Amino acid sequence: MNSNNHTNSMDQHSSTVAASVVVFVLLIILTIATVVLSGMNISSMGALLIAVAIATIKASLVALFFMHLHYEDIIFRVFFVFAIFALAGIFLLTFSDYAFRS
Amino acid sequence: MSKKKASQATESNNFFNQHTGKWTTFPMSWLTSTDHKRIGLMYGYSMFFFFGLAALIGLIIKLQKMYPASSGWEIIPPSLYGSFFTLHGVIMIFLFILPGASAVLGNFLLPLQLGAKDVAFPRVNLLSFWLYLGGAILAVVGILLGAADTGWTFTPPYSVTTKTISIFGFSFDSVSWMLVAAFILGWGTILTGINFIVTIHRMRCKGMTLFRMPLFSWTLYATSWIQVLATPVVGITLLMLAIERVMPVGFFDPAKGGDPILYQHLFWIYSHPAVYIMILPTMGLVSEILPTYCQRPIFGYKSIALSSCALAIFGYFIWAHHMFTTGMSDFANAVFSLLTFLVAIPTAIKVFNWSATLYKASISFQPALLFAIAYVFNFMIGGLTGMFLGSLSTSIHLHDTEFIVAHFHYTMFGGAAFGLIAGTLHYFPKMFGRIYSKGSAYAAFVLMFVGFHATYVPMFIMGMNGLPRRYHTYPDIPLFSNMQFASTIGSWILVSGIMLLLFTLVRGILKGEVTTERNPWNSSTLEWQTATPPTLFNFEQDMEVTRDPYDYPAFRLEQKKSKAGGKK
Amino acid sequence: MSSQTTSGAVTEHSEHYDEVGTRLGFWLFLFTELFLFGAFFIVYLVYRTTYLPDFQTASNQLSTVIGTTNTIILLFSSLTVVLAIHYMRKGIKKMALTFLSITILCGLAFLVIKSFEWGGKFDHNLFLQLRGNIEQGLGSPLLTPGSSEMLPMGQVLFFGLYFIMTGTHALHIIIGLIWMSVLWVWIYQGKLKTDRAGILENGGLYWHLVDLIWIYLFPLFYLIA
Repeated sequence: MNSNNHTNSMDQHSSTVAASVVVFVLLIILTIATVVLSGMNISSMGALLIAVAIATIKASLVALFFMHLHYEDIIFRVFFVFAIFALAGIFLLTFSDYAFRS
Repeated sequence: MSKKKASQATESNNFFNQHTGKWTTFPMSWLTSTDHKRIGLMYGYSMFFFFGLAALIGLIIKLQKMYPASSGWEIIPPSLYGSFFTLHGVIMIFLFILPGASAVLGNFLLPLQLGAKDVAFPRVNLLSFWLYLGGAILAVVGILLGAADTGWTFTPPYSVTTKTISIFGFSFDSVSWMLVAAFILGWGTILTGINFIVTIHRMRCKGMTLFRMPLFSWTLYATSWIQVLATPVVGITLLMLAIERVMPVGFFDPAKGGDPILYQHLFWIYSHPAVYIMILPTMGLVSEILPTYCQRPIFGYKSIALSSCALAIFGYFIWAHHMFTTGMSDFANAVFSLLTFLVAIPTAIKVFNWSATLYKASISFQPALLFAIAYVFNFMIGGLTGMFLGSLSTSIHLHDTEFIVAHFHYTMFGGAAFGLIAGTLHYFPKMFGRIYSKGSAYAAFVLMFVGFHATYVPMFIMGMNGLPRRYHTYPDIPLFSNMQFASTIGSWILVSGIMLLLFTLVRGILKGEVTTERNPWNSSTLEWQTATPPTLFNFEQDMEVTRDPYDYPAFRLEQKKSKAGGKK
Repeated sequence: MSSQTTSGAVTEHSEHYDEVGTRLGFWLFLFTELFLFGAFFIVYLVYRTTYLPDFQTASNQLSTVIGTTNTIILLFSSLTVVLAIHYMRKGIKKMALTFLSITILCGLAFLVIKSFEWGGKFDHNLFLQLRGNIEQGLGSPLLTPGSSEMLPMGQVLFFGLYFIMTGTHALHIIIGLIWMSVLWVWIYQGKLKTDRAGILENGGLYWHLVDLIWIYLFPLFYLIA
């Protein structure tokens, strides 16, 4: 691993104004979608999953494009996935208790 | 781009008299220093002070249990006993062993091991220390003023409603004080973790690939990830508890529909990985010490490096083995028990590798090595007794008994603390440019080793026979009385060993024979190529490594060449 | 990373400013924020699954219109902060300052709307009360045990979580606004170098994090039924 690599990876891409606006529009569409879907008659577990799924798509858009994760060195994405994996793990394991209490 | 390095190291020019910032006199030149070596030493001085203090409190606790109360014996009144073990636990855990080897030796050595001139964010490093010191003072003052007696675990509902008594005559919310102190301390840990991760990724010298990095650095890397990803959870949980004390929202209050077990989940989500923060750096230290005193490559470098990371990852997902008796679902019990058993594997890998390193080696029995070998022995006992606790059926019998107290003292004290001591003795000449009294160190070792087992083995026995923990006395049954008596005598031997050790270290720092020898133990890693003590920016020129860190044959060749070439 | 300043016998030392390293470190800090709010979300999910009907009822008392408006405001402010950084990198200060101003205004708007929202809740007798006051009998229906106006337990937990989680989020918005304002002043005064823009980048990342958290808070509190 080249530890003396100080090149600014940000210079190599140009986060065009247009691209950012496109992402913004997608985020608004997804926001409207989540509001509309919440009004519909779905099971509560289904509603929760859909809401979290849409929120996750929105969050991914913000992280990848607004926060430039897509354009950074791969180590940033590795770190991020690792942290999400740990977070998901503690959620799941906590629910191994609560979901199975009699 | 070439870098101008600090002026040549002369006998008198080292980091003790080279300053960062504008202050040149003690104490400000130290308290405002961004030099990782000074920061490491400041952590060290503070931590060993707290260690001594909490050891004395432990001595008093043991003294209280020397005879059963039915015989009229009382050193600590029952109403204050809780505060004593709370104080002992909070100091030992939050102020000594949790910063531990990472804060002292990690700060001092990481840049040296990597061939760097400091950590990635030196000013943040200083901030970490201030957060540690500030939080430490708040915590100790808080407990002393209000005698909080919740235990270091702060479990609700008691921790939410308890109005702590005051021992100085005025009412004081000691528990909230401590919760805030713990939150502040947590941020110091987090910032250190961030600093080390970025340092390791960005500041390794030329030629040092990840798999040429020394093992102490590897363990610091694994530790730092736990520090970053686990500490925030307990930070916010303790704040939730503090909020609950002030504004009863009912998160953990059954009367309002809350679940106290949820607190325990959130608390142990940090506090179990925390024990890996305590132990992992010391595993790295042992991995430095053994090859040095055997003068041969460590056995299984890659598997020690990777199993350290595995330990951090596995250790993150096993927290609820502290909660088997709380009423969790059977499914959760089974899952956590299984995962807990898995975590023994990475540790076992390391023990086998260490043993193989020692096997048929030409061993030099320096004090550091004795503590390192005792570390492996003690940690094995601690780990194996952990297996009884990880197994559901036996855990029900053993949980919250003296058995657990012995188990975690074997791992945290016999393990992590002995490892920290081993590392301190090993790196002492490099850090201070002085030599401590070896005879004194050997004597301290014998006292500590004998005293340690004499103190804690009886606790295993009493725990197996059902004696609960955190009780200020016990029934007058011969088994308990005899074991407690023996344990108390053991604690005297142990604490005299601790005091002798601290005395040896202090005396060595102040009055030890001065040395400028760069590599007294003939160790092959990069930190020993600095001056003794190191200069402000560590290395005289940009370093480059071309071999593995424990390649002793190649190292010996290098030494022959440099001697032949007439260099120093 | 700035160079060490030294005095005494040691010569000054120049070095690279490691922008990637600074950003990497800040991402690690952002992870700690994720886990901080993550713990809150665990508490939320546990109680939502335990008290689903109560959560649905309580959620209906939150205005979806206000929530959606605030969401859009924050998303828009994330866009403007991206543009502000983009123009700063190109050296076009005026555009950078314009977009940064919009970001700050959006943040302020969010807080104003939220304060009206909370005020509405207080008017409906929904607020957190100090333990001391409750013991003196001055409870709110939210928290007074035994009162005939006591809300069901699940709703009490919902509103407790609502105030504390949106409150913590609002605290982070305030910190972000202070950060953005300081940056605004520095850019205006020419103190921010385009090659040492780490603090601007990191400020933007912090703002996006605040947006990210709200992206999860919004559906989980406002859109349950």
